[in-house]
Amino acid sequence: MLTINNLKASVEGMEILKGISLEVKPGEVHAIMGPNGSGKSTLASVLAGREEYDVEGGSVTFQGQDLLEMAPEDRARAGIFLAFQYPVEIPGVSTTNFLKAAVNKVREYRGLPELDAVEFLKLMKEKMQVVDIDQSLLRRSLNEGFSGGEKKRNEIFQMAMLEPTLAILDETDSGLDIDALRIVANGVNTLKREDNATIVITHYQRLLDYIVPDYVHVLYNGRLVKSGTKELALELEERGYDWIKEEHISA
Amino acid sequence: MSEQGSTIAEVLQLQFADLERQLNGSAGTAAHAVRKQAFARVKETGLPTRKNEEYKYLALTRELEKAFAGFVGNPELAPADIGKVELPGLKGSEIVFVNGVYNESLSNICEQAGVSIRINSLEQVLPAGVTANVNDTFAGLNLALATGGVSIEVSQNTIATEAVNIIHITNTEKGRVFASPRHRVTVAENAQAVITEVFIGSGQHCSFTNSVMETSIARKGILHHYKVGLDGNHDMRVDNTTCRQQEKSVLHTVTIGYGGKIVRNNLTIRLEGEYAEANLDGLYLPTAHGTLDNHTAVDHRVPHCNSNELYKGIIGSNATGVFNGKVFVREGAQKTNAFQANKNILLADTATINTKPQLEIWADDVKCSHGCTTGQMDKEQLFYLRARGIDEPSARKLLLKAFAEDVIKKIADDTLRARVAAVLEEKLAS
Ligand SMILES: Nc1ncnc2c1ncn2[C@@H]1O[C@H](COP(=O)(O)OP(=O)(O)OP(=O)(O)O)[C@@H](O)[C@H]1O
Ligand SMILES: [Mg+2]
Repeated sequence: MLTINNLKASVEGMEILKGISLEVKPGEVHAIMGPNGSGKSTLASVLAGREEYDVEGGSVTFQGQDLLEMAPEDRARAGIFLAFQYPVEIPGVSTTNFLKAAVNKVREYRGLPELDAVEFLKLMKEKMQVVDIDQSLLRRSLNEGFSGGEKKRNEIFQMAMLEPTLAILDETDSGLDIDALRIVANGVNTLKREDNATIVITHYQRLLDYIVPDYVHVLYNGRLVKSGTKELALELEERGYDWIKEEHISA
Repeated sequence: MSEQGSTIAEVLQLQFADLERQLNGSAGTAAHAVRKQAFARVKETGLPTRKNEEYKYLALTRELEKAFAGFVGNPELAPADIGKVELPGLKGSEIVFVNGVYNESLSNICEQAGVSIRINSLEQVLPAGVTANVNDTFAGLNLALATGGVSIEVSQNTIATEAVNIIHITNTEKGRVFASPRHRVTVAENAQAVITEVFIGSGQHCSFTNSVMETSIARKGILHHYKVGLDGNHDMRVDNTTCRQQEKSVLHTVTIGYGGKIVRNNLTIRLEGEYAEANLDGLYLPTAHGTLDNHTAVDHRVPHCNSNELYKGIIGSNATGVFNGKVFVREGAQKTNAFQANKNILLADTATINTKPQLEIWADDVKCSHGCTTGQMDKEQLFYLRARGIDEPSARKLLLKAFAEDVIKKIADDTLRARVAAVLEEKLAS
């Protein structure tokens, strides 16, 4: 579904991704872990099409299409969803208000008929249950004055509404209390299907107890330096990153 | 027809002479004396150039010189042309002026006890005292040359149930147009009124509308006043609106500007009675080499008054926005609350904004604040929406509508608010 091949990217002339290769197949869950500043959000942003990042080399193919050639909105319509590490606040635009436009643009792209107001509301009600989010929150200005946890929950709600093929969750677990973590993880698991995939970026093994990954990768200094199964996450929890850094330096 | 003037000063002189000739029986009256005095002052000072601090961002006089050389008077409009006029379809009374002249057949006045609406009563109104900002040369010029206008009085304890819409149509298809409308609204004690002014311009020639709206609100009165500019690309306009407020009175005024060649709004509010409240909001979208200039002044003369001001600008490419917000808190006007905010979005590198808050405070126990922001569209917000599948033009529109909504939602009249929102939608699409 997604093939990243030797991807290099920089921002303001500074090289951040230094050759990343990763293959994600339908039905898989990949976890990406790594120290602060190693480039995890940069990778997520490059995949979503953020324009400040310059791709210096490599390729990304998503369902047979050259992802790097596509505008951010077309990537979203083709099925890429990024749950932002820091969701932005948009005064005056409610979640309900912009999601109606978003859902219909995505549906149009997929050749599905536009949802009318009633159908849209029905879909909202259904998906609100998945992440246990309150309707009053969705009527407020997007993320404005939301608590950290409310913002993250709202990201997962949007994911539920847009039904992506590939979801990239950038530290969706940070800022969540234990109950919210379980609800969000449950939401992700509920939405999981044979034909979609998830990349989970996290610092905490705890999330992976709920969203069980098929693969765990360590991103360090712009490179994926180690890959393994969920046991790797446990080992990282216990030993930290120093041993990986050392392994990487001596290699 | 009259002789021809080449400079704007000569043109104005001829206009004034024309007007004096038409006074017939009312020459030598008190009103005539007021006009003569006002015109003498204009002649003395001349129209403001950019050397004048208040007009430093406005090349208005220069543009008037260019546009009105040799002007002798407004063109005659055939009834057929007037018949084609499209009104904005607002609820309530519609009082229509076409090129400055009251048009009875297009107008419709809802009668209500306690609400007096008098058309073209300037000869009575003028000598009864002038409240408008006569320091402004254009306001002075209006005093001298004013022809059409409406005078609205809402008497004590009366709630005017129907809005009064004053609609100025400027049609320059047959030639240049110069108009000087002058209106007055008096809200008596405990009375309430909703007044809307709309300026609609069309045609390929230049126009200059020099309008005045004088309002006053007595004790505990409430006035909602809306001004919507739908000026065409060749329309120039200066508007002087003033409001004098007595004790516990409330003013809600919203000024919307969509386009025009040069539009200058002077809004002057005087808080003269304690516990009065003034809310002034504005939205301006200058486009296509046009300039939209808002000068506001709120004068806190007595204690315990509140003023809240929010002006927002969306400045198109090659367009200029100006905001100058004066707040005066006089000595002794303790416990004043005065808030002012001005926010601008520049849509292109060629868009210009000149913004200047000007707070002058002589009292010590007051709460005053002002803030001003100017920027491009927020890239993070745009990316967020695009990352959800919304294309860039739609995302921009969504964000700009949200930006403008803070002002548009202040329009309490549903029909008018919907109209203003619909025009915004059109403007953002183009
Ligand atoms: N827009 C930017 N401008 C300048 N530097 C940037 C920008 N974006 C990222 N960087 C730098 O790139 C590096 C990688 O950042 P990134 O956000 O991808 O890290 P991360 O792995 O997501 O970290 P964290 O775990 O703290 O979220 C950091 O050193 C960061 O400062
Ligand atoms: Mg990050």
